[in-house]
Amino acid sequence: MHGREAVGAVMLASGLTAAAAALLLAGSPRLAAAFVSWAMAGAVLLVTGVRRLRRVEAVRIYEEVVDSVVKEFGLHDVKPLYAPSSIAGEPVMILSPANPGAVRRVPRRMLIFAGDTVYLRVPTLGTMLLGELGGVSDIPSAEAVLKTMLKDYLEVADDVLVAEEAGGESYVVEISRPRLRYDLRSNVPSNVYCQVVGPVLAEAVGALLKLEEASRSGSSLKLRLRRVV
Amino acid sequence: MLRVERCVQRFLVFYAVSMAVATTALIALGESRLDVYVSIYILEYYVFRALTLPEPVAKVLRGLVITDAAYFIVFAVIVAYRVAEILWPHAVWWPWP
Repeated sequence: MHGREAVGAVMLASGLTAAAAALLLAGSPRLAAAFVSWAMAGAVLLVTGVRRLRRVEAVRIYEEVVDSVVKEFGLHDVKPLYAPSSIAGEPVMILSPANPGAVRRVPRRMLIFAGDTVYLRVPTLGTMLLGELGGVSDIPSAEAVLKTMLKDYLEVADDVLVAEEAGGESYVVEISRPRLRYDLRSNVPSNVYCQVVGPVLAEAVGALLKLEEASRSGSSLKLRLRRVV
Repeated sequence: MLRVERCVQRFLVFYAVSMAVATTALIALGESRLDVYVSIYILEYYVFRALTLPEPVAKVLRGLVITDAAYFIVFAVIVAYRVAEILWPHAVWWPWP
């Protein structure tokens, strides 16, 4: 039981006891009513406590589900593209066995056929969380939102740093002490960190980004994304 | 702060303030029937729940199902008591006014 639930439980119990005492001992319905309102507020406080789920476990299971879908399409080893809402309607991940180049417009459907190749348009965990937490407009705001998502909300990292390179042509995201362990070589598109970072960063810079590199260095995870021109 | 947390805080503040206002107003009016106070608190609960907790947020807060059901039952019992009081005035019993 956490802070709010504990306070709620105490308010509920003390409120009901005091109300009963006010009614039975003091014979005052008005005083009892005041204590009943106290108890009812406590009950609401008790049930609205958002329980802390085992988030790391939940995120890992989510990642495995996405991974199995991506594997079904045979796209688990491609480098994902991330499109902002100005291109795809919402920040999404685009997977394709071919190099799609600079995409101008992405229709709002999962499978996109273009000539001999097929693209997979996947709204990710980053897409959903961005909708929940509000938009981003630049790199500092993207860094703040990524910290909120990975550190505070999902609790799967200690810190996130975003840096620009080559005059804004590429971006390096360093995630300190990632809690999820997996093989980065085989499942980059379904990797939760890539799923969260890619769409947020693409939205922040308002351009199509390609994940160039995902590597571990010491206790941190480094993602390098490049603008697709 | 997350949207769910924002909505919950807004709900709690509105609900607590409205109950305080209702209690003060009913006492000032000289109301001494406990069930009237409780009915008003329950109505306020449903009003502010509907106004401040939109459906996607309310879905996350699964515990609300418990208070929803409990308050509905209490409200139904109060209404049933008042109806019974009119239909069978000698059959119902309540020690306080």
